[in-house]
Amino acid sequence: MNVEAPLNLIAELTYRCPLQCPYCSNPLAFRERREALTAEDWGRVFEQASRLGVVHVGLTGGEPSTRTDLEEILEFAVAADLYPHLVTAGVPLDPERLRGLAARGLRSVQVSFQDAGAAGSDRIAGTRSFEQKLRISESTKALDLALTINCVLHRENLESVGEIIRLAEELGADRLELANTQYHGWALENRAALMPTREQLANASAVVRAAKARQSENGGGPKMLFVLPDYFSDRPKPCMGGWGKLAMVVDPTGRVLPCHEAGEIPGLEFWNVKERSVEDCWVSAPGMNAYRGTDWMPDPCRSCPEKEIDFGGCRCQAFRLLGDEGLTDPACALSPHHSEITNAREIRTDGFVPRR
Amino acid sequence: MTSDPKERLALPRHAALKHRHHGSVLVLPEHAIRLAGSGAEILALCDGERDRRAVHEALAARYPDTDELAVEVDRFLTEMIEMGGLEAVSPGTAAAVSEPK
Repeated sequence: MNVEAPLNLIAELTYRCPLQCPYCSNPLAFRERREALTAEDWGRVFEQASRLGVVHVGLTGGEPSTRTDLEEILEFAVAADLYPHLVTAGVPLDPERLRGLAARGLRSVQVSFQDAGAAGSDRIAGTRSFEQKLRISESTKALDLALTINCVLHRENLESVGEIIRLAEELGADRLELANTQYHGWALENRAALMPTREQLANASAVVRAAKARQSENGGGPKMLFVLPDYFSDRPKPCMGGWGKLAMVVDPTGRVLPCHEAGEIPGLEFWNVKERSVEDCWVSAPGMNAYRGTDWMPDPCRSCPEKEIDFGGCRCQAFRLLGDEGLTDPACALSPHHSEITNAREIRTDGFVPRR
Repeated sequence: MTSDPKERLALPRHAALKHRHHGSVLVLPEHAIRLAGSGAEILALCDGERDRRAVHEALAARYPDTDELAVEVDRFLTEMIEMGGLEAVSPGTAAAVSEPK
């Protein structure tokens, strides 16, 4: 098989995070996992990934600033000629430390907010963190780094979308990701508590459209991303832009994965950068090749004209909901199992369980 | 919005051009765009001083006898602007702000 060079490395430096968001993408059993990579190990990964073709690295987690050697890790990324982007919850990072990271070559920061105001954001995060997020965002701008604000959307904050947009505008963000919850990991556990209504989504969508219209009249403002969740759009997402195609995830244990959740699928063999080269792990691991391209597809994907657009959707979602990651993502209306989605989107309960 | 030939062209502030064995890539904070052919060379000419015509002239000086490429270069520039990989600064915008008469 002809394997493309990846462009983007998602470096999950740790599972640790002071927040307890109910949609956390950490694996449910993350406390049983050992973080295995030292800063030097990450340096080797960056260098090999760059040679393989990677140009951009997202330093993420968990919360990357829980690592006391983040500075050293960043220096390795810069030395490997990767464009370094930090994905942070804003804590325990502080402005002084951020200044040091900028001096070492950090280019861009994504700060997550959980809602537009302190009360909502801190409640969803399970930790007082909103004020600190504001400070980190302001420092990011003051240091002339690119600022992305990210807010995961669900039933409890979808109605704040207008205020979230205003917050991003006030902070001078370059980009605002209004990211509807994807139901993996803890989010799947909390699915009924997070599930929005169609009306909420339609209203939020209209608010975003109006804000974009306002922007194009006045000029400027953050570039906004809002995509209807796959549960409500009848077509699956082109997950990761294709399995093992554009983006490479290295998890805190050192495994090379096609996405942050694929390592949870039993029976798929992924390889570890502690034992093999990054190129080997990317090109030759059986798990990486299991769902590359389109040859693996069953119908309805196999004969679908959109198979190169959505790549059959998300393998992890097919595994979680159907027990077989080789099936068409049930988010697709053409899937014979689409009722798994249409039923779930009608079930709502109150009160989510924080990530433990 | 992208047709004004007097617009000066520049890479977005937080963009970077990277070169790898598989080709060149324009890297943005959360996005990377593979550049085919001479894309990187064209973008490198977009230095905030040149407008479209100056970009064409610079290319013509390097590659004489390639008049027919102008259309393709134009299309590439427009596409990059639409994808957020290139910014077009209208002449006079800054002046209009600093000299309101």
